[in-house]
Amino acid sequence: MGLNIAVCVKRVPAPGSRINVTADLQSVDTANLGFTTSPHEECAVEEAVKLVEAHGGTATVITLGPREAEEQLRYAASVGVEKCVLVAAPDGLGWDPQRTASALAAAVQAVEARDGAFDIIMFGNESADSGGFQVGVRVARALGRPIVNGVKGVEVADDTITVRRPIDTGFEVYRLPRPAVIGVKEGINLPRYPTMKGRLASKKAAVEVLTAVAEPGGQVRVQLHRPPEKASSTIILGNGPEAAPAVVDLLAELGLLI
Amino acid sequence: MSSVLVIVEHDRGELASATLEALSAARPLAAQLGVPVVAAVCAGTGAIAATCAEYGASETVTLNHAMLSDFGPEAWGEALAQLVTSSQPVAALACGTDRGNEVMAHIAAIIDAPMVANCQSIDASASTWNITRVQWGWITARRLHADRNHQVGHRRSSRL
Repeated sequence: MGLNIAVCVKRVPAPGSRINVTADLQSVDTANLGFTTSPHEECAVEEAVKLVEAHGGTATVITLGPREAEEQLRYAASVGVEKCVLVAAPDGLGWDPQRTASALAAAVQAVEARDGAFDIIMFGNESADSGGFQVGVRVARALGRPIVNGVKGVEVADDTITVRRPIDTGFEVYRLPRPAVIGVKEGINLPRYPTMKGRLASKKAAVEVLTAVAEPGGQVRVQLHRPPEKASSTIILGNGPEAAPAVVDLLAELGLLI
Repeated sequence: MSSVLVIVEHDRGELASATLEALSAARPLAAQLGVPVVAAVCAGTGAIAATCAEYGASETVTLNHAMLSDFGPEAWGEALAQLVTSSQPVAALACGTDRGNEVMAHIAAIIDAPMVANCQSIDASASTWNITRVQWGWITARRLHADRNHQVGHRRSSRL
């Protein structure tokens, strides 16, 4: 019997994008901004697909957010995930971790009530944007399942899952009963690029839409603040050999001359 | 007696240096609130308690159990959540390491309290706290309100 794996992903601003804050300081200005899947979660998707390839079964990707987050679901579909679930919340990307976890746990329970329990639920260790380090743990606790975070190796055999995570002096190894939750860390694998066939198929992939239901948690965002960028300037010390004295003076000033 | 509780991180008796930063951050917060700093350690030692005292802990609570002797996020989280439930600290702080983040997430999940990661500063002068934290790494910070009675604060080891 194959593995039934779910991966929870988050739509986040693409790395390298300049991220501006809206005039009211309440949210990220998404105009002209690219979006992607959090890197840890991109690796979780790859790991789920690899496990299904090795053991059989089904991989499902779940995200909470606005309709636009279908983009991240379809990307997962393009690399081999079979089922896509959008937990619709137009403002969900700004939800606090308690609310997010509560809505995701409810969504998982709804899918499991129909399709059977997931053997493994994967999260990224933390999201690339808000970096709360807690949604996966909260979902695992809500579902009454064991969780290990920071995972960089997964092996499945019979009814147990063995995971490895690096520490300063080597690796910690945990053995978990199924079903379990795993927080995956970037570096566990090298995510594949979607094939042309995968991209075309993902456009037709069915996306199940569930309505997010959860009460706000204990945090309220007051405002976002973008620190000023560090200013840099270039001083031209001179051109050619005549610049040498100025270079020597500068090196002396920096304490680099003995 | 209420307190600011600092979760101590160590590896089989070797104290994580980041814990000292958490203790240092707890002192002004505790002073602002008029409560003592209390350290909490799973499978602690006398040396750890002595170091915590040097860094401002008026008391160190040691939790002992065979399952706590080696680090285990779920077991440590469960034990510390029981301590938080019974002692009702105003806030719990830990260092923002992988282990600190993970244990705090378990505590917060078990007691259903908010947890704020990567904190840079905590202003507890009003009934609702203002917390500034790093978000998007180097790019954006934000302030958060958190319910004063259930706050689980959390700070990054490299800050303050």
